[in-house]
Amino acid sequence: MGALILQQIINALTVGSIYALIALGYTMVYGVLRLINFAHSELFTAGAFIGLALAGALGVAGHPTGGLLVGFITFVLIGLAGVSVEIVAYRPLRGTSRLAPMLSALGMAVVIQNAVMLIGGRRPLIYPSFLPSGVIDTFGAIITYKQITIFLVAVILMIGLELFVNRTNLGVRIRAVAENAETASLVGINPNMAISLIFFIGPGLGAVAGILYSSFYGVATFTMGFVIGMKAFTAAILGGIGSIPGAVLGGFLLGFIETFATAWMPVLTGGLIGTEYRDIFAFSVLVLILLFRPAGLLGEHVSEETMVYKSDF
Amino acid sequence: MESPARAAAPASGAAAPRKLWPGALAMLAVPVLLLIFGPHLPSYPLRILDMILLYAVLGLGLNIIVGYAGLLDLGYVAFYAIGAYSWALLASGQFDIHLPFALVLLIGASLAGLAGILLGIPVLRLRGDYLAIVTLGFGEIIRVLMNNLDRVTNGPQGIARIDEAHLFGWTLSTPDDFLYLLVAMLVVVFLFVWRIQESALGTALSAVREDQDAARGCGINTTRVKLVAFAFSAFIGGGCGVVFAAMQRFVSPESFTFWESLVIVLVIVVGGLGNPFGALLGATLLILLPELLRAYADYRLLFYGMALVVIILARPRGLISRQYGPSWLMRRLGGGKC
Amino acid sequence: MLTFDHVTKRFGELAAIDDVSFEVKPGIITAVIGPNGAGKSTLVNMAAGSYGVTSGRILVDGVELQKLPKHRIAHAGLSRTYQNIRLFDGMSVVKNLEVALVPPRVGSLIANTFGLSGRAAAEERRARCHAVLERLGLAAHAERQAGSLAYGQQKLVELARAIVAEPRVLLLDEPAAGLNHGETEQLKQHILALRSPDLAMVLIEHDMKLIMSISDIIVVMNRGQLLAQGTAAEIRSNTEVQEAYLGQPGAIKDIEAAARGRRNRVRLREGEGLTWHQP
Ligand SMILES: Nc1ncnc2c1ncn2[C@@H]1O[C@H](COP(=O)(O)OP(=O)(O)OP(=O)(O)O)[C@@H](O)[C@H]1O
Ligand SMILES: [Mg+2]
Repeated sequence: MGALILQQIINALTVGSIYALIALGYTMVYGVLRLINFAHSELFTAGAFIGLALAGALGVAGHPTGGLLVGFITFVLIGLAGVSVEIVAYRPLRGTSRLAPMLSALGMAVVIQNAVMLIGGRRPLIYPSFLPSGVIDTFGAIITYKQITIFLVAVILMIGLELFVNRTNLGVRIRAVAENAETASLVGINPNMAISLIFFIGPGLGAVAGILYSSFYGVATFTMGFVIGMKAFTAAILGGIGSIPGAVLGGFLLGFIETFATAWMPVLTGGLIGTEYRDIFAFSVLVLILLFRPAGLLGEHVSEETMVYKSDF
Repeated sequence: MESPARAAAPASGAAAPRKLWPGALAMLAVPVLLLIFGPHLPSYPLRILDMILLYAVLGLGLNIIVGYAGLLDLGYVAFYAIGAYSWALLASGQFDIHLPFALVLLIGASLAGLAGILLGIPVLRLRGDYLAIVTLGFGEIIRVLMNNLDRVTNGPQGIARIDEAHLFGWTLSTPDDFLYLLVAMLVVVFLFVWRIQESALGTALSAVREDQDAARGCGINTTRVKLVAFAFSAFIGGGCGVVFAAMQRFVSPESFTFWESLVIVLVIVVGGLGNPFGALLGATLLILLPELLRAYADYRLLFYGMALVVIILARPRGLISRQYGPSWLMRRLGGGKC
Repeated sequence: MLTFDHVTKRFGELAAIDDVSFEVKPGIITAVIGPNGAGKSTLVNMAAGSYGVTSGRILVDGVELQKLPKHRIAHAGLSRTYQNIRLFDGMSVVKNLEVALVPPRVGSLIANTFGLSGRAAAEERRARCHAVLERLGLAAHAERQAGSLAYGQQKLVELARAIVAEPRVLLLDEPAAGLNHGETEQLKQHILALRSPDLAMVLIEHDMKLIMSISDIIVVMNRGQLLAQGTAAEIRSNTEVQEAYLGQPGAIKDIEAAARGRRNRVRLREGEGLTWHQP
C-alpha cells in the first residue's frame, strides 16, 4: 500500500513536471496579452519532432549528453517559431477584438499540427530516449532515472525562469509589461520586445517538455499536443492564470489529481469508472475551479476594478 | 395613425423598409429554387447539397454565441453529438426504443440546450475567455464518453441500423426527402436567428460583445443573456445532430471530433461573423471546396488552418460583413435609408 | 436622491475615499471638483457598481446600491458616463441607446425573440432613443457606427445613452474633458436642459468656468476626503478650501491649470488610439 502510494507520487511528479513546463507558456502569454495561445500545444509537439529529427541528424539518439545539445537547439528553434507566430498572426490583431486573436491562434495551431503531420507522418513514431536508463527500487516503489531526469530538468528550468524574471533587467521589463503595458511603455519599455521574449521562452520550454514527454513514453504522434495542451492550460488556470509560480503549482497539482484519481476511481467505483476516464478528471478540475475559485490558487482576482484601473491610468 | 413619439423622430426612416415584399421575395428565392431544382440533382451532388444545408444551419446556430455574443465556442460538435446520439438511442434496436422523429427532434435539441446551460453556468458568469477552453474540453469529454460508455453507445463501433425517420406520416429516407426537411429547418432557423439579431436580446448580446462592463452598467444581466444565447445555440446544434443521425442512420464517435467544431467555426468566420447570410455562403464554400480538391485531401486541414489565419488577418469581417445582413437587404430592396 | 454615507474605499494601503458623506439632491446640479487623484471617479465607480465599497453605504432613495448586482443598479435608476469613453463602438448610435432600454427580465427577452410579445414596446423604445438623439442634436448620426464618430460626438452619445432610460440619478464623469469651446458651450446647454425635479445630477469636472456657471452645489474633494461643500460663491470665497487645497490661496486657479493638463492628456490619448495595443 505504502509502496503503491509512493509509486503514484513519483508518477504524479513526472507528469506534473511536464504539465508545469507547458503551463508556463500559456500563463505568460495570457498574463500579458489575455490570449489563449492555442498554438502552444502544437509547438510542444513540434518540439518533440524536431528533437527527433536532430537526434537523427546529429547521431546522438539515446545519449543523455547529446540530449542536452538537442534540447538546447530545439529550445532555440521552437522559441524562434513562437516569436514568428506572434509577429505574423497575433501582433497585427492586437487591440481589435478579443475574438480575432483567438481565432488566429486556433488557425496557427491547426497549421502547425498539420505541418508536423505532413512532414513527420500520421503514424506514431518510435522515440529514442534522451534520458538515462536504469531504476532505483525504494521501499518497493520503482523510480526510473528517466523520471528523476525529467523532474530535475523541469525544476532547473523553472528555477532558471524564476531567476530570469525576478533578477534580471529583461525579466523586470516583462513583468512591467504584464502588469500594465501602457504605463510600461510610458517609462520607455517597448512592449513588443517583452512580448517577443515571452513568445521565445514559453514555446521553448514547451518544446523541451515535448522532448521529455516523448522520451518518457517512447513515442511521438502529431496529435499528442491537443489533450496535453488542454490539461496544461487547466493547470495554468488552477494555479491562477498569469502567475508563474501558479503555473508550476497548478501543473504539479494537476499531475497529482490526475494520477491519484485515475488510480483510485476504478477501485472506489468498483470498476464503473475506469482509467479511460483519465481526461475527464482534468476537465472536472477545470470546471470546479471555475465554479469555486476562478482566480485559481495563486492568481489575483481580475475584477472590473483592475480592468478599469488598467484602462484608466 | 402617427404616434407623437414617432412624429418626433423623423430620422427613424432607417429602421424599417417602406416595402417588405422585394426583400422577402429575394430571400425566399433561395429556398424555393432549392426545392424546385434540388430534387432533380443526381444522388451525389444532392447529398452534398444536404450537407451544405446542414452546415449552414449549424453555422447559424453557432453564430448566436460566436458572432453575436463574441464568445468562442470550440465544442459545438458536442451538442451536435448529443442530438445525434439521442436519435440513435431512442430510435433503434440499441435499447429497442422507437420514438417518433418529431419527438426525438425536440428531445435531442432540448438535451443539448440543457447541456449548454449546465456548461454555461460555471463559465459564462466569468470574464475572460474561459468558454473557449471549457467547450474544447467538453467536446473532448463527450467524445471520451461516446467511446467508453460501451453498453450505452456501443463504443467506437457506433450504432448502426437506426430507424427510418417518419415525420407526420412522411417517410424521410432518400436525400431529397432530407432536402425538404433541411430547407424547412434552414428557413425556420434563419428566421429565428434574424429575430434574435433584431430583438432586444440581440442588442444585449451585441453590447456584451462590445464591452461587457459597460453593458452591465446599462442594466444588462450579462450572465443571463449569455446563457440564453448559449442555450439557443446548443439547442440548434442538437437539432442538427438528430437530423444528421436520421440521415446517416449510423452514428459513431468518429463523426464528432474537434475538427467538426473547427469546420463550423470556419463556416461563420469565412462567411462573416454575425451575419446569417455568411453562414450560408461559408457552408457552401467549406463543403464544396474539399469535394473539389479531393486529390489534396491530406492538405485539407492545413488549408483550413491557413484560411482561418489569413481571413482573420486580411478580412476579419469575413466575406460578407456583419452589417449586410437580412435587415440590410430588406431596406436595400424595399426602399428606405441604408 | 443619492446619498453617500460614511463611504470608504481602499486600494491596498491607499484610501482613495476616506469616510465621505454627502447628499445629492434632485432638481439641482451638484458638482464634484478636486485635483487629479482626489477620488472623484472612484465615487462614481462605487455608486455604479464598478468598484466595491470598503465600508459605508451608498443609497438611492433608501435603496442600498452596494448590495445590488451591478446591472440592478441601473434598474434602480442610476446611470453614468465614463471618464474615458466607453461606447459600444461596433454598434450604431441608436443601438447604443437601445442597450440602456433592454427589458430587465430575461423571460420577456425570450418571449420577445419568439415574437410572442413586445413589438409595440420595441417600437416605443426605438422612438424614445430617436427622441433623445434629436434632443442632443445627434439625429443625423443615428445609424452611424458609434466608434466612427468624432470625439465630441461620442461624448454626447454617451450622455444620450445615460439619459435615455430616464434615470433618477445621473453621474457625469468629466463630460467636457477634451471638448473645444463651442462643444463645451453646447454641452452646458444640454446639461441645463436636463435639470428636472426628478433628477439628481452629479457633475465631475475640471473646467472651472463650466462648474461655476452651472452648478448649484459644489463638493470639493482632496485626497479622498471631502473638503467643503457649498454654493459656487461660498466655495469661491472659502479661504479654507483655497488654503488647504495645495496649501495656498488662489488654488482655484490651480484646478483650472489641472483641467487644462487633463484636456491635453485626453487629446493625446485620443490621437494615440487609447490602448497600448496599437504597435
Ligand atoms: N482600480 C483601482 N485600483 C487601484 N487604485 C485605484 C483604482 N482606481 C483608482 N485608484 C486610485 O485612487 C485614487 C483616486 O482615483 P480617481 O480616479 O477617483 O481620481 P479622480 O479624482 O477621478 O482623478 P482624475 O481627475 O485624474 O480623474 C488615485 O490615486 C488612483 O490611483
Ligand atoms: Mg476621474
